[in-house]
Amino acid sequence: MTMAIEKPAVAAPWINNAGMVVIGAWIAALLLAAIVLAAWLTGPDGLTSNFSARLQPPSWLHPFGTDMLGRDMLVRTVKGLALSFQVGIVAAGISVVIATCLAVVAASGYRLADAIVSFLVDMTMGLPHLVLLILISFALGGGTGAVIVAVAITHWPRLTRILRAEILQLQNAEYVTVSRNFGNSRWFIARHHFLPHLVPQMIVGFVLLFPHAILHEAGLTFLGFGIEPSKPAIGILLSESMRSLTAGNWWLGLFPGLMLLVAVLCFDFVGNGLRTLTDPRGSQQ
Amino acid sequence: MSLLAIEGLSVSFRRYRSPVRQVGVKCVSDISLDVYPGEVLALFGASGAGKSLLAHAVMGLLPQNAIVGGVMRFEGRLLDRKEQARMAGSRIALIPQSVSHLDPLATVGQQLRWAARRARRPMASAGDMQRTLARFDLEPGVSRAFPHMLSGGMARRIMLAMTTVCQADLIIADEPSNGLDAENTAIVFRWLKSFAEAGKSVIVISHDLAATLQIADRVIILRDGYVAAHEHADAFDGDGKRLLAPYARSVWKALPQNGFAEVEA
Repeated sequence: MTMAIEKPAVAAPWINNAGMVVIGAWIAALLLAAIVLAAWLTGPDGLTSNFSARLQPPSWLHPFGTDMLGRDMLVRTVKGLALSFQVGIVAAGISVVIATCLAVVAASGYRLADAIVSFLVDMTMGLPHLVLLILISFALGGGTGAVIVAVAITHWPRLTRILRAEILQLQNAEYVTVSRNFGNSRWFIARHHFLPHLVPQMIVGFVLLFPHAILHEAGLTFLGFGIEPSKPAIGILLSESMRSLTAGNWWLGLFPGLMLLVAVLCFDFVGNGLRTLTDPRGSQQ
Repeated sequence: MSLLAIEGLSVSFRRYRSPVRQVGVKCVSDISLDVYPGEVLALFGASGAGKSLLAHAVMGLLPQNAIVGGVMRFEGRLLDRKEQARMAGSRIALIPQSVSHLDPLATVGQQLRWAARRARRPMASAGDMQRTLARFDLEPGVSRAFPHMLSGGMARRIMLAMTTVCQADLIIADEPSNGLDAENTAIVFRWLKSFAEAGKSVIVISHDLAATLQIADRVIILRDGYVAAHEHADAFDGDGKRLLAPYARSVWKALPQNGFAEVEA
């Protein structure tokens, strides 16, 4: 008698739930890549002023209209999004790394380490986000780098809590107890037993942090503590649009805002797809 | 010389009766037994008799609040915490009760390789893996499966395979027949017997007396945490006249094939 994993006798449907998610993720990823590529390919051309075409509503020549200096809003939006991705991905990535490291330290079994990390988490969560963001960005002198640092070191607490709880739960799992008692090192357990369980949480955390990071970048820039106004960041576009919204120039705010929403949704799809792909339990769906 | 000798083992748990008062709850008391190379020792008893506690005490798998008394020796050397950490997983192997002892997010092959590496006998090639799996009638493809894809019988075979890759001398099987039908139970028990025939010591923990008797050399019956009977397997025969302890006779007669008599309290 042999036991084996065989192909099912009944043909599987050509696409299943997980397949849909993955295809959606690919489309979303391609869209995001297209935006970055377009921003890179257009070069500085779209950003030169053209005073004969100021504040034009959407047309075939300028699908997103033009701003008060006659610059094409489509080009500015695409370039702004590309910059926002950069800020969002780097800042959210750093946040996830910080959160993972602190969570591992907190759940390592040393009470003092746990107390210190928990105190840091509570303290950071207790302070108003925006005040801290403005403080850090201002102290670092503003600019893209300052925004990234400010967003990165204020967004880790929530994920740290989630990952810490996850590890504490795993510490009590029978296979971890067995592994520990059989003389496997802490490093082996963290690397082989904990990390595969944390990856889905880390991806979800990253995906949730990304729009947060972009919105905070936009917020900081809007308040004047963020990216320099010469750069076409989404926050700058939105803050500019506020000034002339009452004059009826609706396209200045609507299109960049919509594009930001679409981009964040796309990112969400990609994250979801990644999570589905990395979870072996999903193979049965 | 006995491979494993246990003298006066007791296990109790610290528990809080009230917010400030701590009491010890004794679960296993004064158990002494020896296991010799090449034999199968059956630990038999009702649920809660302390069979698994005994196994976990030997492996050092008890929770933090457990207090272990008595002396355990492995090959004549005192089996303390440090020695346990050295022996468990290499010289002493546990075949656990449930799949929850396998990492749900690592493939079976990966976990077999870990078990081999832990015992400092790493698997060099894919052929090693295939041979190990084939020994237990598993196809090579099984090494790529995750634990949740296995049936109960397959999972049990994987755990048997793990004990063979680390080539342990003492194998403790915790309820190996749990959740298996008669045919699969017979297969698993035959393998356990073959380990003993190869000169290793096997401790089988079970509450299925009839099945266990087919492979056991000696039977120890636990009851409420102490040794109620210590019998030779051949004594379980006929109407149990040759059994020494009254409790053993009573349990023997309670089997369906022996009259279904009520167990004396």
